[in-house]
Amino acid sequence: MDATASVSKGCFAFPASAKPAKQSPLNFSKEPWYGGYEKVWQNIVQQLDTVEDDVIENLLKDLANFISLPSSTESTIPAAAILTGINLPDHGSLFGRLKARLNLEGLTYGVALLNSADCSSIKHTVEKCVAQLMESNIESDDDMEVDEEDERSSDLKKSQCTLPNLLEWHKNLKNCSPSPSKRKKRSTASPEKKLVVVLKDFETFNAEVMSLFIQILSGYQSQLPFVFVLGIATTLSAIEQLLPHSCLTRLSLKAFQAQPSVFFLNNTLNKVFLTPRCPFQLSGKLFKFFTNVFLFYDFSVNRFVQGVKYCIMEHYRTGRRPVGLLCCPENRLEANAKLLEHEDLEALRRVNTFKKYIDSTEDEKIRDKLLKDDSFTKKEVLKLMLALRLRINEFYAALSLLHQLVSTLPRAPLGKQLRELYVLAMSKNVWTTEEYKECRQLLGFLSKDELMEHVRKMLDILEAQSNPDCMKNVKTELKKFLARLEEAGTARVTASPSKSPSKNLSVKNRAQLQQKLMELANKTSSRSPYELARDALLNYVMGEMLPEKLRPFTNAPLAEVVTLSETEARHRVVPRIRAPIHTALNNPAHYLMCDCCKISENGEILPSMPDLCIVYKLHLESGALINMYDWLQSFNLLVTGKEADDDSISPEVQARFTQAVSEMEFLGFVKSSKKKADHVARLTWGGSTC
Amino acid sequence: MESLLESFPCRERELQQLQIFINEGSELLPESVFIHGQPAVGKTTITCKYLESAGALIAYVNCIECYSMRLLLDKIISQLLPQDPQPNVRCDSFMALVHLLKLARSKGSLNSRPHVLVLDNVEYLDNLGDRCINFFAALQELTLIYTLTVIFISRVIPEKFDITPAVILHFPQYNKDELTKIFQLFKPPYISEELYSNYISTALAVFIRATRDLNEMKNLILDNVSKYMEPINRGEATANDTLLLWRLVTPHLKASLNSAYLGIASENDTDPTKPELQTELITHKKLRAFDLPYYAKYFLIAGYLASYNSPKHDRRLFLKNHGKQRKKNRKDVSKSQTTELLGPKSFSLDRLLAIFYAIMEEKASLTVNLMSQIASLVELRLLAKIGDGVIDNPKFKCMASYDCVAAVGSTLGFNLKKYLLD
Repeated sequence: MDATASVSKGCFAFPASAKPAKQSPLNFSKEPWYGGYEKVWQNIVQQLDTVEDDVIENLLKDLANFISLPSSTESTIPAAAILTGINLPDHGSLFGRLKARLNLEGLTYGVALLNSADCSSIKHTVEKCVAQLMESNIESDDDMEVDEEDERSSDLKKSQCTLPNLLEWHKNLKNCSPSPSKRKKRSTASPEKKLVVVLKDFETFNAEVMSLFIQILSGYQSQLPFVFVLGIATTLSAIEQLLPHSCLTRLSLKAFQAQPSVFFLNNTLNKVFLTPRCPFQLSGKLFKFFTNVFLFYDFSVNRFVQGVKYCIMEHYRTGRRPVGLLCCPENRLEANAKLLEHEDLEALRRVNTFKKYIDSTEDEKIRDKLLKDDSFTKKEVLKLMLALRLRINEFYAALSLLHQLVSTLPRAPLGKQLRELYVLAMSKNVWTTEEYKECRQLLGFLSKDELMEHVRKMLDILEAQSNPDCMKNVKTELKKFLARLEEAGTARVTASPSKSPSKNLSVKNRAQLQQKLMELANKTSSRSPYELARDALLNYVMGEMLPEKLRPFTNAPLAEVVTLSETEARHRVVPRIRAPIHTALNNPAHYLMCDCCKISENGEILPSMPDLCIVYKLHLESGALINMYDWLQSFNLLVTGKEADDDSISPEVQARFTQAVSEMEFLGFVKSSKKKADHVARLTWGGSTC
Repeated sequence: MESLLESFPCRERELQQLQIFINEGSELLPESVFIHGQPAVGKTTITCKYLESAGALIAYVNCIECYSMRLLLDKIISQLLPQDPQPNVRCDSFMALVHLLKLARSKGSLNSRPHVLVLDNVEYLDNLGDRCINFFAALQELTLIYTLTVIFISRVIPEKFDITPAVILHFPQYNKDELTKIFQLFKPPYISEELYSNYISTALAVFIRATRDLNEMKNLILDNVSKYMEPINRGEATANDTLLLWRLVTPHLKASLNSAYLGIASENDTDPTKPELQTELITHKKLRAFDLPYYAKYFLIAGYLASYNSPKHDRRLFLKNHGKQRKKNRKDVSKSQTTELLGPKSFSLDRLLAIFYAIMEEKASLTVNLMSQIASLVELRLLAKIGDGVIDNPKFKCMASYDCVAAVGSTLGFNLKKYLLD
């Protein structure tokens, strides 16, 4: 695969997600846009992996520690309960990593990952568990020399997967593994290897099966070093709800907490997507939509990433070659721009912002050149793209500066997270909003220490920018302000009345008092040098610098090339209920795209439609109970075109009808009814309403 | 025998009874022995230890793990006839087992010493078939091997089974004095005898109300010895000051009792490098409230309201113009109390959605994602689906407790109490 031709050298993982493209009937793996997409996506996948690794590193370390501990009592099974949060789809990777890590560190003989779906009875559970434990060792031991290899490599039969066999296997393994050569490699005090049983979704396990399973394993605890890892989505109390007391006493539990899923999201966003290094940028609306799906619906980072992936793919597909070439990391821009051909440039000339740019150029000659001269345009495009990149860089730098300033304010009018700021800044001019003004006001109350801290942090942020030229003058300005702040004292400039004003506060009535106080207030409004410096700083930062840098880059020429603004995403990523099924069955031509089934009105039924569709449409016309015979009659009439007498319906039609009805039953639209013979019950009403 | 009596105090009577029926020289063993008693009173341990000391050959099978006949019989054969391993012999039925045993008898291998088949947790044998236990009760008769006996061990009283065992032995639960005696055996080396017995009487007073399980209690007691010693080691109290020590240790004991049923290990022994993680682990209250996606929270609340309010009040609760409110009469109140005791009532999907939209301020379009929230709540056992009727309008029940839902509600600023009528 040529996707490894990336700037960074190293190991490249090709997850299954990228592969199906090859086998799909719409073969586009050779198309130019796909190459660009794939390079970018591989890069993102790598970054996601490292980010996820960082986040769960601590948890994995704790777990590995816990598992390596020698079991304290012989009668109980150590069990780690991980509170994973409810983003169940993401747990697979967590447990996968745990398994990989345990194997890597040599802490286990084997790891069994059990799903509740596989464990409907105690027999299945034990078989699955034992098979996985025994198999996982074969995999991991591939490179090691083990005597029993031939014995175990023979495929495990299900009937062999019993605990006595496991016991035997464990004994064999124990006897042979501490070969002298291996001992030297590992530290002498290497902990005893364990057999780890991971229950991924603890809540959904059958309670009875689970309690039996635990009791059985605890019977073997003295001979087999089992360790449980329970993935718990809700709370610890789920354990006591599921297991009886007699089982709980056999576990010695310890709770571990995974990071909350929102933390995962923020981390992923800040490190992977919301950086200037990311070759594409999400438009404010799209980004908000995805975060909302995350926060409101499923808490699944995995789905978030998949949604973004879809949008990227769509972006490259619709953008074709120019996007495939230009939407890439900055360092490849120059090389890729050279590859642009005439058609690509033509396509670029049709891009809205570029058109505007051409129109706005004053010089007649240049405008002409931009329209006609390809090589000139090519250079111009490159120039514009580099400028766009710079602008994106500045945008992010400014965004993090603003984030630094406002995220800690009381009640955080602009939001606490960088992503919230991003959405605001991408969708409108943030400095015109009420919240921005409120923030400006609140910042005016900061004490000297706090403000200095902020300015220093801001300088750090600028210092950390990858591009040293970016915001250079801002940096120097901020440094100047910092110096000025440091010098400025907090004492008032004008001599304020040193004596207490209450002494000459001789008033007779309320109105007079009010007046006096007003005067006093006005008098003390004279500012200290610190306050003056603060105002100057804030005026510069909030008034000049940020508005300039935070202009949404979506207005810049060629911004369409790097911004994803898939408007259809809503329907693609969050599908509707049942409506697609109804459309498919009601109007098969919509999906089959054939000419024979086109219908002019909704209720029309054509004999050319698939049997299932005919049966479905007929069933829509009936009541709660459907008479099978009538149904068959109308089906026959439609298919053959003539009315049949009793018994004269051909066996072929009957068979087709039976098949279609059973498919309906499988889809859940009808079920056999006990109320009346020869009738089936309808399970849905008005399929067209949803 | 003496050593057995020493290591298992307070079980003299039971051991003596065992000795009467099964001992080293006996050539004629009782057909079957039934031992019953509560969990963790030493049934299995004492029986096996005794038989070992009596020189019997034990075939121990825990019936709980025998989910198939094959497993059960294989285990019995491999333990009863260890000397002639016959890997190719398939033993699938009881008669095959009898046949094998008879064969072994004819070779004279089973007569030399007592052979005892111990079936633990015999109540689980029912899963293999109704008459399983009857077969084992008559094993001696079927095989005609009189040096072979079967010991049934169960939590259930023998009258529940359709057998008439030759001997019935009951292991009674330990009382407080006996427990004291037993725990003396586990004295850690660093504590003096007198101090330890003081500690045990203190600890037992706290724990005995919560659990009689010897193993669990042992863990609890041994875990807290160091807590008892702490004031002495620090010099705050002397060993004679029992009252002060009692006062100091009781809070610790009560705290560990709170987690007794969950058996969560205390976190003090882990390394303090990750303080932020540690604090989250200890506070149980924090763990009780969990994080759900925004809409799922509302679904949970709506489900709770639908389960605990009757549908006729819905109009009053969730509509702005609900018309006149009739006077409540007293009868209603008493009725609602009884309905509350009946637990959650089922509700239809329609009603759930209606309440969901009524309590939500913003509009959420009904998409697959929204519906899958309900499915995931069912998966998490917060809601339960009832029946498998129409897909259009399935019925649910809310399984979450009030505290749980109220905690979720408070994260949304939703006052659950306001919407509950009782």
